[in-house]
Amino acid sequence: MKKIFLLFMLFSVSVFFQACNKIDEVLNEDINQSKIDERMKNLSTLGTVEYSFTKTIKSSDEQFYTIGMRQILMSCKAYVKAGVNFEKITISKIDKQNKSIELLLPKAEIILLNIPAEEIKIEIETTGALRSKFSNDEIQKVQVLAEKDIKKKVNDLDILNKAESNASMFLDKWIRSFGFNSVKISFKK
Amino acid sequence: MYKLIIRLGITFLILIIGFFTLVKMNILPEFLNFSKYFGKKEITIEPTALIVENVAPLAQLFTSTYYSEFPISETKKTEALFGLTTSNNELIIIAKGNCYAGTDLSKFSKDDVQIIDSATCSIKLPASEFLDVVMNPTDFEIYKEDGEWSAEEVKKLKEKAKYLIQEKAIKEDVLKKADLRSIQLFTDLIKSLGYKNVIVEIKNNVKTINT
Repeated sequence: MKKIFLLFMLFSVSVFFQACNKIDEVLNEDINQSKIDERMKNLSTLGTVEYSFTKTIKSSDEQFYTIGMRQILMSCKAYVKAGVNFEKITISKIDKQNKSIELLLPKAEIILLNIPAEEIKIEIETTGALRSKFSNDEIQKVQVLAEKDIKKKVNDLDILNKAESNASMFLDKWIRSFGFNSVKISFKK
Repeated sequence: MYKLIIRLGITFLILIIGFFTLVKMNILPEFLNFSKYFGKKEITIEPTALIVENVAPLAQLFTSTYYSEFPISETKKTEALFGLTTSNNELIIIAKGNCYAGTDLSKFSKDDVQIIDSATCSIKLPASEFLDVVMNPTDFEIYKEDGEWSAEEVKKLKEKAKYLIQEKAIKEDVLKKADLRSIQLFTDLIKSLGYKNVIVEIKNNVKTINT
């Protein structure tokens, strides 16, 4: 009876490990796919301003079941580019004889927010004697929170107005190189 | 005595079930919400200012973007028991990002415009280039982390992902497509300025469209 029980146990254990291996294989197959998603898109935005920012990221962690605290202080750089949609620039009036032109530009928009990984630095990390260091996953979460905070704050800045005034300056100069003497630029409301 | 214990037990059980039902239904008063005191607190960040370091004028025409999502991994061997055993530790990150390509118009000068006659105009555009590769923290996910990996090693792998997406974009001919898009956009704009024939040429890489 004991022998049968032992054989049954051995069989169960081997089935269990086989199943684990299978799951591992399936997972690895998924991971090793060279690409999950790829796509290409046409754009037509004229970037006219770039803002560079710095931000300090502070985070601390203390749970009711832990003794001691963990703190991390990071710094990062962020870049925001804004501009106008080039395709939507319309010519509202043109007089080739008098060499004058009036352009109507769309409202400015944010093109991209870039927080390069190489410009995120851990400045100070302090951990209590009974605490472990911040894991890479936790550091990642802190960085994600910082990105969300930057996105919120960027909207409160005057970036779009600056992008519009730079766009009109650039286009004024550019259109003049085509022989126009008078260039008027206005923005859609 | 025995009955009293059973009654107390049943009452206690009913109270417990009732309490957890109220917790699940989210109708407990705030001060009775014990998860507030004993639950695991999520990681938060303290509010800090976003400091503007620089504001620079640009003249970049973004004409193409390439998006990709892919896994990237790194393995290292670690020794244990004074080198008697070794194990392979793996770090897998899922990265996604955008590679922006376009024309840097700050390299465009007045001499690049030639007005041949009242109906014909020719311009020379700078060749398209990668203007930005954007892979922000939300674009990375640590999928697997075996063994000890320092924050610096994770950062290096993220940088490698940034390099890889650019390589992929080159293979997909993104720059060529960006050039064609620039030619199209400038042709349309110059035509609307009153020129019937527009010749757009890409510097170094002569591509001409005659319309």
